[in-house]
Amino acid sequence: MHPEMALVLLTVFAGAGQGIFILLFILDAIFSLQGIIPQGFILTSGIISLALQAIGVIASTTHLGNPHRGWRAMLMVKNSWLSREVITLSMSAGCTALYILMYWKGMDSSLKFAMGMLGVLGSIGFYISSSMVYASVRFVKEWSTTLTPINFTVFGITSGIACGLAVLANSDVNPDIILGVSEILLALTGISLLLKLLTYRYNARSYLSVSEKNAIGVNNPSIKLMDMGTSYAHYNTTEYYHPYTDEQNKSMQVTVLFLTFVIPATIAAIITSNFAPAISGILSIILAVSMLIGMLFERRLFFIQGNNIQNLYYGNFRHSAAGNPIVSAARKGTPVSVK
Amino acid sequence: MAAIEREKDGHLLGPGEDIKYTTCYMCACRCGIKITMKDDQIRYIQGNPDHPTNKGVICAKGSSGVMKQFSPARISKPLLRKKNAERGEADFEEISWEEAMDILVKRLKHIRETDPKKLAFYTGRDQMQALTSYWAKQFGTPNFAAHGGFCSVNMATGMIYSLGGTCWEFGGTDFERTKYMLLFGVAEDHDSNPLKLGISKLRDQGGKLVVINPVRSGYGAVADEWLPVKPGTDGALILAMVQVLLKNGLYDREFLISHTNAAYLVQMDEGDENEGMFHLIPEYEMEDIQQTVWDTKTKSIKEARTKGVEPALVGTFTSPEGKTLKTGMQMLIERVMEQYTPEKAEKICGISAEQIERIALEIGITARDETISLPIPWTDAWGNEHKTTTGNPVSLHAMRGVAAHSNGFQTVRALSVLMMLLGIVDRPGGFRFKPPYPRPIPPCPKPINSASKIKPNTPLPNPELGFPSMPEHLMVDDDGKPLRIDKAFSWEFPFTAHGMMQNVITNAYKGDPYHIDTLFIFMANMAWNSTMNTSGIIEMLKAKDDNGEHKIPFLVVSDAFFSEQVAYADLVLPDTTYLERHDVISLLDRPICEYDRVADAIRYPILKPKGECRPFQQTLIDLANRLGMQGFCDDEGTPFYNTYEEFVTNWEPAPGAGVGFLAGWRGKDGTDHIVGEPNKHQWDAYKRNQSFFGVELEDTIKYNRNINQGYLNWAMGTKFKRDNEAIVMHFYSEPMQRFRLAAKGLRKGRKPATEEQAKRILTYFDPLPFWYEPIEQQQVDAKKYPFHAITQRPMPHYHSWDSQNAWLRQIMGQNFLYMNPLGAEKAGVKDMDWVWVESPTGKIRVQVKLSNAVQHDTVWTWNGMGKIPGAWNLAEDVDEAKKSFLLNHLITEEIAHGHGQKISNSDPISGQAAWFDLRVSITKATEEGNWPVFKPIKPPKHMDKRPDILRYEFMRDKKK
Amino acid sequence: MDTRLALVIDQNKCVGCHACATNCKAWNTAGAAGPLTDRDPYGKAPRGVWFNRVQTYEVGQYPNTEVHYLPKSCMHCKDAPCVKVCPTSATYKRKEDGIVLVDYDQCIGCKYCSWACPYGCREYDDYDGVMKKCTLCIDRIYNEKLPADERKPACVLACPTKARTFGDINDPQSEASVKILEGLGFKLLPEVGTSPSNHYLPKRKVKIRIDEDEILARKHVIVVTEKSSSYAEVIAEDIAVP
Ligand SMILES: Nc1nc2c(c(=O)[nH]1)N[C@H]1C(S)=C(S)[C@@H](COP(=O)(O)OP(=O)(O)OC[C@H]3O[C@@H](n4cnc5c(=O)[nH]c(N)nc54)[C@H](O)[C@@H]3O)O[C@H]1N2
Ligand SMILES: Nc1nc2c(c(=O)[nH]1)N[C@H]1C(S)=C(S)[C@@H](COP(=O)(O)OP(=O)(O)OC[C@H]3O[C@@H](n4cnc5c(=O)[nH]c(N)nc54)[C@H](O)[C@@H]3O)O[C@H]1N2
Ligand code: SF4
Ligand code: SF4
Ligand code: SF4
Ligand code: SF4
Ligand code: SF4
Ligand SMILES: [Mo]
Repeated sequence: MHPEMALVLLTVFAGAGQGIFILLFILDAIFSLQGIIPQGFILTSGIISLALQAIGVIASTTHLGNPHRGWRAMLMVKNSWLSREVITLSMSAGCTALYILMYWKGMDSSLKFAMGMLGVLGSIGFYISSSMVYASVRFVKEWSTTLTPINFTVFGITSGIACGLAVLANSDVNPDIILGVSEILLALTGISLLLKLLTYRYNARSYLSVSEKNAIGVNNPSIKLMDMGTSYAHYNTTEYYHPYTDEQNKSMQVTVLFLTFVIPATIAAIITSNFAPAISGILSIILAVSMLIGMLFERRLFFIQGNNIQNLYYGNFRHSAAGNPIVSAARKGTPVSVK
Repeated sequence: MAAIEREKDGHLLGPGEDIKYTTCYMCACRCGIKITMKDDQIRYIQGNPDHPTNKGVICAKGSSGVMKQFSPARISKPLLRKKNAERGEADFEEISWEEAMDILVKRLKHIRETDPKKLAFYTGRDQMQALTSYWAKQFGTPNFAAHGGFCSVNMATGMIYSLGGTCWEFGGTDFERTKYMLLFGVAEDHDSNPLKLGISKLRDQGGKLVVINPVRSGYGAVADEWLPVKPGTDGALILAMVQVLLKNGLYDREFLISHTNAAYLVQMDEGDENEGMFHLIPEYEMEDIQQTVWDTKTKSIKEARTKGVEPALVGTFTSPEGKTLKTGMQMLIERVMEQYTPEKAEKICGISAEQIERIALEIGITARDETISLPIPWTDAWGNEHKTTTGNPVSLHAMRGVAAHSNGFQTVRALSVLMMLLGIVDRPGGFRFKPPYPRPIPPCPKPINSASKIKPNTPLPNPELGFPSMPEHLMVDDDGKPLRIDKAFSWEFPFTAHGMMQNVITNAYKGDPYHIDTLFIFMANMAWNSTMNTSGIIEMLKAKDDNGEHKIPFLVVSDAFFSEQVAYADLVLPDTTYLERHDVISLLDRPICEYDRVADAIRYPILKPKGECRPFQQTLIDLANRLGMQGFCDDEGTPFYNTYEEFVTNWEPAPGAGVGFLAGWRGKDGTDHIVGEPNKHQWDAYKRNQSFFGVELEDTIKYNRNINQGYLNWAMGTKFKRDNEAIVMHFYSEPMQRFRLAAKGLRKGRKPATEEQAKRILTYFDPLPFWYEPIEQQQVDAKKYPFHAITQRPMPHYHSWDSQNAWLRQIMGQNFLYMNPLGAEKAGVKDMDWVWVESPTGKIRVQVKLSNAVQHDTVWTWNGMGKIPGAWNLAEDVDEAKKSFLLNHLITEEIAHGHGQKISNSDPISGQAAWFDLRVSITKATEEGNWPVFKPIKPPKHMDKRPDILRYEFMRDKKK
Repeated sequence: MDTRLALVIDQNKCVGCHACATNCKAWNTAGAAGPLTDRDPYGKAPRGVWFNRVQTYEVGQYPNTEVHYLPKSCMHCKDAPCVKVCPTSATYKRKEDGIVLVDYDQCIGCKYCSWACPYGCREYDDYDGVMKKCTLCIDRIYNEKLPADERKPACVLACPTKARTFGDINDPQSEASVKILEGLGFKLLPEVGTSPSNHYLPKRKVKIRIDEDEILARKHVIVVTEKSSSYAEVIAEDIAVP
C-alpha cells in the first residue's frame, strides 16, 4: 500500500500518547496518595499525551477528502472499525484532557478515577479498533492477522511508556520508579521485537492463495499485463502501490530494528543496570525519540508491506515476500485464505 | 423508404433538454449519433439506434466528441506567419478573414490566370472529395488528391480492377450469413463500428474467425486462430491457399464461368500485338461481350455468353488460325501448382505448410458444402433465369496490412482471385457490394491525358483522378513526362486512382517534374504523421533557394487544431468541427450505403462555430466566387451559390441532370429519391430524418449485381452506371496486359519513356497475381536491418488528432515499440529498455515493451502518437512529446530506381505508399527519452489556456 | 428472489476498443454521478476519474499467445466489503436491485472502502474529496424520460461488439442469466468471497474438423495431363478420384 503519512502519524502518535496516559494513570492511581509521583510529571506527561493524541487527530483529518463532515465517521459504529477508531480516539483524547484538568484543579475524586478508566478503555479500544481497520481488510494479508491488533496495542503502550520514562527520568522522582518503569519498558521492547519478528516471519511464510489467473479468469501460467487501461497513473494504481525497491525496504527494516528496538533496549538496559541520574535524563529522552522515530518508520513499513489483492490487476502484486531480511524463503509456507 | 421517425415524444425531455441527430466525425466511419443537448450545450453523445451504419453503437472516439469541442487546441482565428519567422516556429500574426481571403485570392488569381497547375490542392482525412475535387477541376489544376494514395489505394484499386468494387464504404462481409472469415492485416478499418458489429455477429453464430497479421490485438484477440505472418508476404500465403484449393478441386466452377473471365480464351503466342489479350471473334471489334470460350460440347471456339455453350474452364487450345489459346484459369494453375506450394510459401511467410493447407481446405470445404440458397429469383445479364440466389458462406476482408506494401496491388489481386475461386463475391454469405458499386472494371472516369487540357482560367475537361485501362489514359505529356506534381498516372505509377499525396512535398521541393507556387492542404498533417521521412520533409518545407525564397513558395493550411502542420504553414484558415458545420456524406464520395440500401447522410451545426472558425466548404465556395470560377459563377462572374448549403441543394453535374450531392428528398416537393430536381427544403428533410436518407433495394437486385440484369437496369436508371452492361470480373486482367504490351513495344500507341519504366511495367504488370518481395526490402540488407517495423491504428485515437482530447489521451499517451522476447533476446534488449531503432533513412530512440503477440522478426507501434512539444496546445513536457514517437522518421519516401535515380517508395502499380516495407535494426540505448527532439512551439495568443482541472459538469457542484 | 442487476461481459467478443470506458465517462461526467474530475488534462500526468477501465493482458507463450481485454467496473458485489467498512454509510447497497452506490453528501473521503475492494474499482475524486464509482447508470436504467430500449447503462449501449449485457442475474429468464448459463459465465476472484454480480464470459474457440472423406468428395478436379505443365479439368460423376 501507499504509505500515507497522515495515517502513520495518527496511529503512532495517538498510540504513544495513549500509552503515556495509561502509564500516568496507573502511576497516579498507585502512587499519588503517597505523594511519590510529582505533579510536574503528571501534568507534563499529560500534556505530552494530549499533544500526541491531538497530532493524531489532526493528521487523521488531513487524510479525509471532506474533513468538515468528518464527524459523520462516527455513525457506523455498528459495522465499521473506522467508526470505532474515531469514537475511541475521541474518547481517549477527551478523557485524557478531562483527567488532566481534574488533576490540575485538584479534584481528587472517584470521578477523576472513572474518567481515567474511561481514558484507558478508550485507549485500548483505539489500539484495537485502529488496528482492526487494517486487520479487517481481508485483501491485505500482511494486515489481516491477529498480530496486527496485538502489535498496535503493545507498540502503543511501549512507546507511551518510553515517552513516560523520558518525563519521569527528567523529573524529581524516586529512582526506584524510574528503574521499575525502565525494567518494564525493557521487557515490553523485547516483546515488541519478538512480535515484529513474528510478523515478518508470518509475512514471509504465508501467502494469499490468489493469482492473476483467477483475477482475470484465465487458466494459464503465463499472464502479462500489457496495459492498465490508461497510460497514466490513477487512484487505483497509486493508492495500493509503493514505489520503493526491495533494497530500500530492507534498509528501512534495519533502521526500524535499530531505532525501535536495539537502541531503546540498550538504553533501557543501561538505565536499569547502571542507573545514573545524571545521564539517565538525557538517555531516556534519546530512547523515547529513537523509539518514536523508529515506530514512524515501522508503521510506514507496515503500510508498504501491505500488499493489496487489487494490485493483481495493475501488475503491482508481489507474490513473494522478498525484501525481508529475517526470512528470505519466498513463496514457501502456508497459503492464507481470504474468505 | 426509411424515413425513420423515432418519437421525440417518447423522450419526455427534461427542462432545457433537446435531442439532435447528426453524423459523427471523430473518424471517417460516418456513424449516426444522437446528441442530448442541455441548455444548448452537449450533455451526451450516443450512437443513433436507427442509423444503418452503426445501429446505435458508438466507439471510444465518438463517445468523446464533447472533449473535441472543449479542446484548448482549437485555433479560431486566421493566422499569417510573421515576416521574420521561420516555418515550423509557429510564430503567427492573427489576422482577419478579410485579410486572409485577400492574400489567398490574389495569389490564386495569379496562378489561375497564368498556370493553374502551380496550385497543388491536397486534402487528408476529409469526406468532402465531391466538393474539393470539383473545386480543383473548376480551378483547372490537375494537382488535386485526397489521402487515398497514402492510405489504402491498393485495396481500392486491386479490388476495383478485379471485382468492380472494394470494401469499407463500398462493400464488405455478409455477416448475417457468413460462417468463416479470414481477416488480413486489419487493426481498425474505415468501417470501424460496422466491422465490430459484424465480428460480434460472427461470434454469435459460431462462425470461425482467422486473423492473418504479424500482430495479435483488437480483432485478433477474439480470433479462433492467429497466423503471425511476416510483413509483406501475404501474397505468397494467399497463392499457396489458391494452390491447395485448385489441387483439391475446391473452386466454384459455375461462379467462375458465369461471373468472371476465367474461362475466356487468351492468346498465348508471343511477340504478337495481341499477346496476352483475349481472343475475340473477328467480326466484333467492340469490347467485352465478344470474348471467346472453348465449348466443351462442340469442342470449338464459341462466343462467350452464348446460350447453350458449355465453356471449358481449364485447358490449352488451338484456334482455327493456329493460335495457341489458354483460359485464365489454366494460366493461374500453371503459375501456382509448382511455384506456390504451401511448403514454398512457408519459407516466405513463416506460416507452416500444414496450417496453410488446413485453412485452405477449411474455407474450400465450407464454401463448397455449406452453400446457402435463398428463394430469391433473378435474371442474369444474358437473360438466363435463376430460381434461387445461392452463395458460399466464406468471407475475406483485408486492409492496410496487405495494402501498405509495395507488392500490395498484386496481393489484393491474389485475394480477389481467391474470392472468385470461392465464388463469394456479392452473394449471400460472402463479400457484398454497396451501391453505387459494382462499377465497370475499371470504372469510367479517366483522368485528363494531355498537357493541352490544362489551360489558364479554364476548368479541366475531365477529372484530376480516374481509372486508366490503357496507356492512352495516363496523365503524361507527349514525352511521357508526368503532368501531375505527384506523378500519379505516370508510367511509373499507372493505376494511381487516388493520387499520390505522399509525393507532393518531396516533388515540389525538388521541382520534379516542375515547381509549384502554392500548396494548399486541408485536414492533413503532412508535416508530421502522414508523411514518410518526417524529419526530411520538415527540412524540405523549410528549405529556401538561393534568393531566400522558399522552395515551396506558399503553404496554406486549413485545420481545426494547432497541429504540427499548422506550425509549418504560411497562412492558416481555422476550420469548424463536425458539430459546427454542414457536411454531406454523399453518394458522390463515400456514402453510408449498406449492401441492400442506397443511403447518404448530412451533418448540420449543433453548436455555434468557435471564435472566428469558418466551415472550410464555405471558404471554398467564397474562393470560387471571388475568383469567378466557372461552375460556381456565371460568365459575368455572378455567383450561383452564396453558401455551401445552397451549393449542395442546387448543384447538378449538368443542368437538369437530376442528381447531385444528396440523394434523398429530391424533386420540387421532396418526393423523389436519388434522381430528381433540386429541392429547396432538402436539408430540413434530412434533419427531420435524423440526418440520413435510405432506400432499400428490391430483393431480386440485391445479389450477383455484377451480372444481375435487374440491378444493371436499375443502376442505369439511377445514373450509378452509364449503361446496363454486365460487369464481368477480371480474373485475368487484360488492362494490365495492355501496359505490358506497350512496355514490350508490341502495342501501337503510347510507350514508356525510359527503359527503366518499361522494365518496371514488365516486372509488375502481370495480368495474373504473383508475389514478389517488397521493393524497398529488395534493396535493404536484411542482415544489417533484421526486423520488420510496422504500425497499427489505436482504437481510441484517430491518427494525430486525438491527443488534444482530454479523455482519449489518458487512455493512450505513450506508445512503445512492441517486440517479441525471441527477437529482443537476439538484440540484447529487455522489457522497458530504451533502444535505438535505425533504418537506412534515420534513427529514433524509443522505449520497448516485450510482447508475445507479435511475429518474432517484427516490431510494431501505435501510429501517430508522437508530438512536437507544445503542438496541440499540450504542455511541453507531456509523454506525447517526450516519450512517444513516430515511426515515420525511419520510413523513406524514396527508394533507388535505376542508375542513381530515386523513385517514390510506393506500389509500382497503384502508387500506394509502402509504409510497412520498413526494415530496422535495434540496439540498446544508454539514455532515456525519445529522439529526435524538436524545438517546442507556442500556441498563438488567441487560443484558450489549458485548464489544470477539467470538470465537464451539468449537475452543478453541490459542495464547493 | 431479489433483483440483482449486473453486467455480463463477453471476452469472446471484446476487442478492447475502450468505447465502454469513454461512453461511461461521457454519460456520467455530465450526469447524476458526475462530474468526474480530470486533473492536468493537457499536461504531463493527466489523472482522471473513470468508472470503467479496459485492461490488456497477454496470456501464454508465442506463438500460442492469447490477448485478453478486461473491461472492469464495480462488480456490485453481493457481499460487498466496501459497504461493510464504510464509517459513514455513504456507501450502501440497494436492497431493491443490489446496486452499490456512494452518497457523495455523506462520504468523508476516508478511502477505507477502496482498500476493502479487491477489484480496484473505486475511484477517489480528490477534487470533490469523495469516493466515486460505477452506478450501473442508475440515472439511465430507471429513467422514464428515456425510450424504454435505451434504459440501459451507457457502456452497454455503446459497446460496438455488443460484448456487454445488462440485466437481472437473479431472474433466470433474463438475457444476462441466459448468457451466463450458456456461455459458462465466471466471476473474477471467486475465492475472495465477495460474490460479485458482474460476470464475464470466457473465450470460446470455434474449431472445424475436416474428414478425409470431405476432401475426397470432389465435384471437379484438375488433373495433370501428359506433360506436367499441362492441366485439364475433370468434372463430377466421372471423377475416378485420384
Ligand atoms: N507510420 C505510419 N504513418 C501513417 C500511417 C501508418 O499506418 N503508419 N497511415 C497513413 C494513413 S492510412 C493515413 S489516412 C494518414 C492520415 O494522415 P492525415 O490525413 O494527416 O490525418 P491526421 O493526422 O488525422 O491529420 C488530419 C489533420 O486534420 C486536422 N483536422 C481534424 N479535424 C478537422 C476538421 O474538422 N477540419 C479541418 N480543416 N482539419 C481538421 C487535424 O488537426 C490534423 O492536423 O496517415 C498515414 N500515415
Ligand atoms: N481508431 C482509428 N480508426 C481508424 C483510423 C485511426 O487512425 N484510428 N484510421 C482510419 C484510416 S485513415 C484507415 S486507412 C484505416 C486503416 O485501418 P487498418 O487497415 O486496420 O489500418 P492499420 O492500423 O494500419 O492496420 C494495419 C494492420 O495490418 C497489420 N500488418 C502490417 N503488415 C502486414 C502484412 O504484411 N500482412 C498482414 N496480414 N498484416 C499486416 C498490422 O499489424 C495492422 O494490424 O483505419 C481507419 N480507422
Ligand atoms: S467509428 Fe468513427 S464515425 Fe463511428 S462513432 Fe467512432 S469515431 Fe464516430
Ligand atoms: S471514502 Fe466515503 S464511501 Fe468510502 S468508506 Fe470513506 S466515507 Fe465511506
Ligand atoms: S467491486 Fe468493489 S466497490 Fe464494487 S461492490 Fe465489490 S467491493 Fe464494492
Ligand atoms: S454501468 Fe454505467 S457507470 Fe457503470 S461502467 Fe457502465 S456506463 Fe459506467
Ligand atoms: S466497448 Fe465492448 S468491445 Fe469495447 S472494450 Fe468495452 S466491452 Fe470491449
Ligand atoms: Mo488511411
